[in-house]
Amino acid sequence: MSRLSIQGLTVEVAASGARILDDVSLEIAPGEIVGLVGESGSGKSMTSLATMGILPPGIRQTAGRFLVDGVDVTAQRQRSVESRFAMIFQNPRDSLNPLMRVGQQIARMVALHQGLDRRAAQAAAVELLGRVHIASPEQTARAYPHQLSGGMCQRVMVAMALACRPSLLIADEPTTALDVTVQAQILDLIVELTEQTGCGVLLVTHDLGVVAETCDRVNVLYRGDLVESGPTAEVFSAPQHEYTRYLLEAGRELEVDDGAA
Amino acid sequence: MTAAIPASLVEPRRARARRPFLYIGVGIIGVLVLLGALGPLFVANPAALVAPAFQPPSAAHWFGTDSFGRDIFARSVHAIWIDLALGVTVAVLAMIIGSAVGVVSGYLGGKVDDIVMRAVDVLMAFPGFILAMILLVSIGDSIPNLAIALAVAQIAPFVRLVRAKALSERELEYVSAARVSGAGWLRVAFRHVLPNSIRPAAVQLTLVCGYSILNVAGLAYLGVGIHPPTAEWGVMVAEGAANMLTGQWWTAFFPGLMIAITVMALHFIGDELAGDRA
Amino acid sequence: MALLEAEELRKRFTTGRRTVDALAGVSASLEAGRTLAIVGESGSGKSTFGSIVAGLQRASGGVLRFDGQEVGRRAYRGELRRRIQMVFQSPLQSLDPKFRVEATLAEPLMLLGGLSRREAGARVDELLDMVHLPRELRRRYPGELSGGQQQRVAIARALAPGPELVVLDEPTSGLDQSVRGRIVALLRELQAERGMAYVFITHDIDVASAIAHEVVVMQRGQIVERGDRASVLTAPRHPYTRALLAAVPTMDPGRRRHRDAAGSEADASPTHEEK
Repeated sequence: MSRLSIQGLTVEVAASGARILDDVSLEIAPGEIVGLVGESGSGKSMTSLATMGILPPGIRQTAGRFLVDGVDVTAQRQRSVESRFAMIFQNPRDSLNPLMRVGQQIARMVALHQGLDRRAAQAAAVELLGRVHIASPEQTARAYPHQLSGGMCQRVMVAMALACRPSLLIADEPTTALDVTVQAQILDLIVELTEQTGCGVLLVTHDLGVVAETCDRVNVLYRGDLVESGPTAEVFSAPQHEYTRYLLEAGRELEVDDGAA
Repeated sequence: MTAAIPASLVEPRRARARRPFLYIGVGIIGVLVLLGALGPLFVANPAALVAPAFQPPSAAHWFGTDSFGRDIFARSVHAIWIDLALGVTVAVLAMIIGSAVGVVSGYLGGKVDDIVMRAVDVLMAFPGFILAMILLVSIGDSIPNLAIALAVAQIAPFVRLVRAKALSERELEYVSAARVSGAGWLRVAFRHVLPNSIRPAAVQLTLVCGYSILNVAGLAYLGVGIHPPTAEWGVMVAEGAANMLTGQWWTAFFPGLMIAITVMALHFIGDELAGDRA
Repeated sequence: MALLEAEELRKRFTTGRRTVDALAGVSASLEAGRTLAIVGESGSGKSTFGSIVAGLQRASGGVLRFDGQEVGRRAYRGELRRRIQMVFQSPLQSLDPKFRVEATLAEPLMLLGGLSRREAGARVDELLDMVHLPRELRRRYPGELSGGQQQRVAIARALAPGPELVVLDEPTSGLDQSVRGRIVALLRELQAERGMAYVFITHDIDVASAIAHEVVVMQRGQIVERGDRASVLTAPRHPYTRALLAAVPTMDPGRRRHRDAAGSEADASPTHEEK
């Protein structure tokens, strides 16, 4: 039984009817990391926003269903809260409130989802910071976002995502804005937590290397159409669709020929 | 790298119709311009004595007559041109001077910026009106000088708006690229930064036009700038002010109304344009 | 003699209470016609170095020599400005949004090439051909071009005055992956045709390996490793270089999630937090 099943998702620009996503379907099993890959304009970010129910004004979902563990949740008004979807974004600092200490922001999430009182929520926030391998969690909890590096902000985002004990984590280009060594650590963290909690992960990215290293299955999006889908190893070794082949070739053109890989 | 949907695609066409004030403002100004251009062909000469003095508004004289027997409506129509033209000229002059100062100050930064901004602060300490009067008294009372004095008195908002935008624009890569392409600071500031920083100032233009008209009229009321017997709304209000107490209210009321309507229309336009910008 | 020589270049920033050494004594050299790749993460000082070489900033200490002459004491003007050019990271941001493509390309021709407006206008077509862009694009505004097209225009602009050295600051980072390879190929082609030297700044080791002859790795304002491409990339000596190479995601699904914990969390970097 898949944790998340997206069926026939179609998203349009309200005013003009231009299609951003056309009949996109994908499945994510519990404990599985599924990649959604595409270039700019493919609609991959809209997929995550549509799933969370936070499409920007002027953009509408005109068709499609979302099923969580087999239950149709499309009609839920606050899908992300009721079905426990969490999302982390590309620019972690932009997603955090600059005027509030990070510990407090996490505590709010905890209070919202777990119903704890203020003190218990604060303690839980510190514990979550520890779970995402932040070195001094009590100290960090008192810091403001601008005092933390990009990588640490992203860890804070992951901690906030964990606060709701998510059934699904959507990571929209979580490492694109980070340095490459930090990227590796964040991806390791996501992998580790997926194994621990058994949530499903939808990893949206343009970077095929990231997909190769972390995703169990991959979906390729081109201009709103899902053109290929399958287990990562298969898609990489025997791509069916020419766009997939094009992406793989372009990525390999620049591969480091270090003999080690 | 998330794809951004251009705003033009997203805003539904319906929203554009929901801006009545813009259309009202443009409509009023349009009517005034037409009236100012064509009206003088049809109404009496502003100096002509067409009727007994102090006739109240009637079918023959829509705005009544003044203390000399001149038709107030005719004089008001003749005045449109002066007030609008002066208002626009002053506003444009203020924008040109203010933007130039603002972009240089914002782009160069450092000491130049400090000096300029303190100078602008001093300028802003004076009410525009008073400042214009002081300047006029020093450089001589004539219509061109009036325009210059009023323009200088109103450069402050333009300086600040353009400087603020210039401060952020100068950090952008196209500015560095222009330097690498061999542009000196003058070219970078005026050919690259200024066009990209002028938008907020352009919006301010209609508002300053409105203030300018008020200032022209106000100064004329005080006997500075434009003098009787020239038909100009401020002058007419001045001439008619004393009559308010003796019951001939129309001599001051109608010119005053013209000022109010014009300035209000300009502000409608300015507000709508300003509201558009996020 | 090397075309470009940097000796113990330093750059110090003081903002409020903090003093930061963006460059803490950097020395490097570059021969004509070759490419020096500067690899590093945010805060490494690589962009500062490029900016100083391109004459956009002044160094706080050290010496910079171009073609034997010391440069950098004053702004680059005239011949020197013509001989050293730059391509920037964000293609959209580096083009004036109010300038059509032809105006952007004509500007260096007029300012550095001494051409009149008409002569410059005539040369625009050649420049577009050189970067394989259709001539119809000359009347367009930057916002009407794709990322790859914008960067080609930026490259054409940099090459217009016929420079001997081009500083490229992350020229492919803002582009889609499929477009990157083609831009790198274009740069290599142009280098082969015109014999220009490149200072190629990047955080992306893949791109560096595709174009560099020599590679220098920077961390926190200092060079931690240098050498020719092959040795740095296949036999790195410094632990940071090894960490960088290990962290790069490769396209091999077989190599999954078994990276050894590559170093501790990078500290908040001196000048920039993110790239």
